[in-house]
Amino acid sequence: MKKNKQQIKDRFTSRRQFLAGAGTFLTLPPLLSLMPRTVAAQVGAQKKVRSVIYAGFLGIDQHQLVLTANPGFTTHPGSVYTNYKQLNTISGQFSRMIDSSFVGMYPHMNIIKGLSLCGGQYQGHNNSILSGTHSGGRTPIYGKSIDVIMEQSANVYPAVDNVPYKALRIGGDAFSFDRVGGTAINSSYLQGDTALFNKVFAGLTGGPVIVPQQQQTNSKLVVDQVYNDLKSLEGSTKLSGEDRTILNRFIAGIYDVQKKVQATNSGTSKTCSKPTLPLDANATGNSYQFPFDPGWGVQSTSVVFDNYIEMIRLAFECDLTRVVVIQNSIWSDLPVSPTSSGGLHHECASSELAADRHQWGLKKMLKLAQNLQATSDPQGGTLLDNSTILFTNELGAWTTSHNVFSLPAVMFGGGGGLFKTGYYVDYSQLNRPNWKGVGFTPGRPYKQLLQSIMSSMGVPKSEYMQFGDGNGFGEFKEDISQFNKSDPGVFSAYRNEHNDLLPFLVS
Amino acid sequence: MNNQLKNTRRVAQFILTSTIVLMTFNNCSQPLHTLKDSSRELSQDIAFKCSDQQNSSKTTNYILSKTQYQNTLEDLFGAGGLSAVAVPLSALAGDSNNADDNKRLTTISSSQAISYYDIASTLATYIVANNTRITNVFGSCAAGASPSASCIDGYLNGFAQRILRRPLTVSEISFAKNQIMMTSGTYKENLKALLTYHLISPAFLWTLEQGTLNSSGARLALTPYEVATRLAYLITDSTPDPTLLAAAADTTILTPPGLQQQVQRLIQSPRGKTKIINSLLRWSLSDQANDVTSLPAPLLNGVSTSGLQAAMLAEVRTFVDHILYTQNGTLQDLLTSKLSFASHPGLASIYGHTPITGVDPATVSERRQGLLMKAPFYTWSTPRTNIIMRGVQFQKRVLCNEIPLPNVDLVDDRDAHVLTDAELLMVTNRAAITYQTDTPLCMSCHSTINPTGFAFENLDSLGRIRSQEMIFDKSNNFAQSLPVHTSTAIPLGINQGDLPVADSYDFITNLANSPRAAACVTRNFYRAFYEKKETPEDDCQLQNSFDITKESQRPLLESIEKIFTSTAIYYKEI
Repeated sequence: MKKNKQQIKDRFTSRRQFLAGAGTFLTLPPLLSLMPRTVAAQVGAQKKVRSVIYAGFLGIDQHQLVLTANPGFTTHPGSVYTNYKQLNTISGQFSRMIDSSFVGMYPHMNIIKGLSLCGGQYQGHNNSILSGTHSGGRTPIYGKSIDVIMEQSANVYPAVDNVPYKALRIGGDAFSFDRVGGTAINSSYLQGDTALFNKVFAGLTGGPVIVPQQQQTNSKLVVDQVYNDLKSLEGSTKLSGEDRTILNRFIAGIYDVQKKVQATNSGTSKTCSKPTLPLDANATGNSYQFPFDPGWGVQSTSVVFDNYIEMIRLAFECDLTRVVVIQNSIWSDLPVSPTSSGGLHHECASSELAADRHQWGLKKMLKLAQNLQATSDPQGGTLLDNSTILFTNELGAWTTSHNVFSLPAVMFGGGGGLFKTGYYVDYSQLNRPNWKGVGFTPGRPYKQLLQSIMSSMGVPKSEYMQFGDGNGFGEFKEDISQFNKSDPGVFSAYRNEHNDLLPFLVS
Repeated sequence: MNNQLKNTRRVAQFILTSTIVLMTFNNCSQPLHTLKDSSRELSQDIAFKCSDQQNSSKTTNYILSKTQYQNTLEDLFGAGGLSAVAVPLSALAGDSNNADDNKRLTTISSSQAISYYDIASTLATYIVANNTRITNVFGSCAAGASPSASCIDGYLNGFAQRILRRPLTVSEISFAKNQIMMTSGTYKENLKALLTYHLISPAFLWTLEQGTLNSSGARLALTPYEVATRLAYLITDSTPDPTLLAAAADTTILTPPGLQQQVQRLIQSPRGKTKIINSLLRWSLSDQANDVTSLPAPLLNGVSTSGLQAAMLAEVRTFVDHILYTQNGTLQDLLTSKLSFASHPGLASIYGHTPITGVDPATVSERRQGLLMKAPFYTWSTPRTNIIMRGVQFQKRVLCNEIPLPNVDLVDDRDAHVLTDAELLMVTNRAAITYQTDTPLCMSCHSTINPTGFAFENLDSLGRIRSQEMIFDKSNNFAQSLPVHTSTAIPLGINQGDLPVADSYDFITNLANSPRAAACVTRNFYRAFYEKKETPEDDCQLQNSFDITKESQRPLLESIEKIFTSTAIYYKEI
C-alpha cells in the first residue's frame, strides 16, 4: 500500500496531459447509472422528456383495473404503505382491463393502486384532478393542472429549444386549466384529427423552413410592436378586473408568438415530414362528447384516435411539443345503445361496460407506448424511455360511489430515467380496509404522482410548490369530513412527505 | 317466490297510489283564464327595478369570439379571404359559453395567439399575391409598378380604419409610414407586414373600450367609434359596416334618433337576423335536437328519421324568422302561432299535416302551438321521454328559475331507487319518475322539476303529440300502451305558487298571457347579446325592453331594439 501511494505521488504529469484529462472530464457527460436517481432526474430534465396524460371522465371500479388480493407483495422499507410486486412475476390475466395484450409492455410500465385525493372528502367528481386537488366536480379552488405548469415552465422549455407548441390538448375542456388572478380558466382543446394535423403539421414542407431575410425582419418588427402596444395598456386605469386578466393572457400569448418568430428567424425549424394519414375531416366533437356520436359525423373514432397516436409520436420525434393532454369522455366507437345516449355515467349499463369503455382508451395508450418504444430517440434510447404516459381517471369507482381513494393510474415509460418501470405498486393503507364501511381504502396523496411526472420533465420542487393551497402543490388535508364520515388524521402519515415524489417508483 | 309476491304487491300498491294522485291532479285542472299567473303585473321577485338609466353591470371587453372573428374576416375580405385562411383557422379554438347564463368562458391563450398570427400572416400573403386584392385593400396606386410614398395614406385613412374600427392614432400612422413601409423590403412585402400587424393588433382582436373616465374613475363614456363597435358585435357578431362607422364619424350615433336608426338597421341586417333568431332558439331550447334513429319502429310508426334532426332545426328557424321578420310579431304570436314550415315528410307527420311544398306554411294539429312546442327540445333517443331533463331545462331556461345542481349523493340515491325492469313495463314514465324521486330530499328539487316535465308528457320522444304512452322493454320490444296523464300543478318560482294546467298546451297558453315568459325572454336576450348574466345594475336596460315584450300588441323586435337604445349603451362600468 505504501509503495503504491508513493508511485502515485511520484508520477509526473505533464501540463499537456493534465489539460487533456481535465478537458475529457469536463466534456464527457457523467454516466447516469453512476449517479443517485434524483441527480439523474435533473440530468434527465436537460434531455427532451415528454409527457402524455390521458384523463377519462367518470369512474372505473377498482377491481376491473387492479388486483384485489395481495399477490405476494414486497414491502418497501422507509416509507409507509408502499408494497410492490414485479409485473412479470404475476401469472394469469392481471385484470379485466389489463389483459394479455399488455404483457409485452410490462417491463416499461407501472400499475399503481391506492393513490387518493386528500381534499377532506372521499367522494365527488374531480375536474381538477390534474392539479392534485379535489374540486367536488365544480370549479377548482387551487392551483393549475400540471400540463399548464409544464407548458409554462422554462425548465421544461428552455428558450433556446424553440419548441413551437408547448402543449397540445385533444378532446374536452374541463381537466386542464390555468389560473389567472385567482380565476381558473379552462384550456382550449383541439377536436378531431384534422384539427391536430392542421395545427401541428399543415405548415410543414418536409424540410427546414427557409424564411427570406426581409420577411424575418418584418415579422419581428410587427410582433414586437404588438407586444409593445399591449404592454402600454398595463398602466391604464380604464380596465376592469376581467379586462386586466385578458390583457395578461394576451401579453403572454404574444410573447410566445415572439418566440416562435424568433425561432423561425434563427433557422432552428425542425426537419420533419408531414404525416400521410387518412384524416377524418368531419371529426369535431365538443367539450362533453368526444368524437363518438354518429351525430358528430365521425367516421371511426378508432381511426381518429390512431391518427392522434401517430401524430403525437411524430411531434415527439421532431420535438414539436413535449406535453400532450387527451381528455376523453366517451371511450369507444360502438353504436349508441338503445338505452343510453352515449354511455355516460348513471346511464352506463354496468360496471363491466364502463370498464370496457375505459379499456378502449387504455389500449390506445398501450398502442402509443408501443409506437414510442419502437422509435429511437436521437438523444439515445427510445422515445418511450424519455417519456411518461399516464392513463388516469377522475374517479376510482363506477357510478355510485364517486370514490377518490384509489384513483386509476397506469403509467408507461421511464420519464428520462426518473421512474423505475415494470411494477405493480400498492400504496393503500392496508390497515384501513373498507374504510368507514364504504368499501374503499385510503392511500398515498395522488399529487405525489403528478409531482413525480413534473419532476421527470424538469420542473423543480421549488416551482411546483407554488401552485396549490399554499402548503405545496395541489391540496393536502390530513382529515376527512364528508357526509357524516369524519376521520381526523387519516392522511397524517404523509404530513412530511406529501410535497415529495413517489417512494419506491422514484427513489 | 316470496320476493315475486312482494314485488307484485309493491307494484300494485304503487299503481293504485299513482292513479289516485293523477286523478287528483286531473280534478285540479282549471280553465286557463282563472289561472293565478295570467295577470299582466309582474310579481315582485322577478320585477326589474330601474333607477339610473346610465347604469349597467361591470363590463368585460372580450377578445373576438371565433364566430365574431370569422364574420369579421369575411365582411372585410370576402368569402375568398376566409377560404384562404381555412387551415390555420381550423386550429383556432371554438367558442365556449356557460350553458345556463351564456357567460363567455373562453379567452385568449398562447396557442390562440399563435393561431391569430398564422391567420394574419396567411391572409396578408393572400391579399398581396394578387393585384385586384391589393387594389381592394390598399387602393389602385398600391398595385402599380412604383407606388408613391403617399399611396399608403389611402389605406391608412380608409381600409385600415375599417379593420381597427376607428381612425388610426398618430403613433399608429407613424409606425406604418416611418417604420414598416421604410424597411428595405419590396413594397408588397411591406404591405404584407403592415396588414399582418393590423390583423394581430389588440385594436383589431380585442373590443377594448378606452373612452373618457368620469371623476369617480368607475365609469367610462365611450367614444362614438366604441359605441359603433359595441353595437356591431352585440347585434351582428361582426365588425361595424361603413354606414355605422359613418354614424360614428359624424357622431349622430350619440343622439337618440341616430342610435335608434342604426340599431333598427342592424337588427334587420342578415347577421343581426341570424343572431336574434339564434338567441330565441337558445331561450326556447330549440337550438338542438337529439338523435332519434334508434327509437323502435312501433314508436316511429313510419316516420322517416333520415334527415329529420336537420329538418326540425331548419323548420324552427324558419318559423322564428317568419314570426319576427315577416309578421313583425309579438312574443304572444311566437308562443301561440300554429304555423308550421315542415316540408320533411317525417316532420310534417309529427306536426300533423301534409308536407308543405312551397313557402306557404301549414297548420299544426290541435294541442300544439308556438315555439315552445316545436319538436327539437322534446326529442330523445329512448322511448321513455326525459321528464327530468325537460323539467329542469324548461324551468331554468324558459322561466329563468334557479334549479341547483344536485349533490352527488342525492343523485346516487335517486338512481338507486328505481323500479325493476319488470315493474317498469307496467307503469307510465311519469309514474316511474314519481317513484324514483319520492324521497323528501329528492323532492326538494323534484317537486318543481317533475310537474314541469309531466305537463309535456303529451309529447313523445319524437316531439309528437300523444295520448297513449307506448311502453317498451330494454330490448325495445313493445309491451303495452298506457294513457298519458299531463295534468299537473307547476311551481312558478319562490313564493309564486303553483299553476294548475291540463297539459303543455294549457301551460304555454298561460305563459303567452303572463309577464313571466316576457321577463325571462328579456333576460335571455341580454344574456345572448352580452354573453353574461344580468345583474340588478342592468335593470334599466331590461325594464325598457320588458315593457315592450309584455305588451301583446308590440313587436318583439321593438323590445330587442330597446336593449340597445338604452342610455347605458354609451357607458362602461369598470
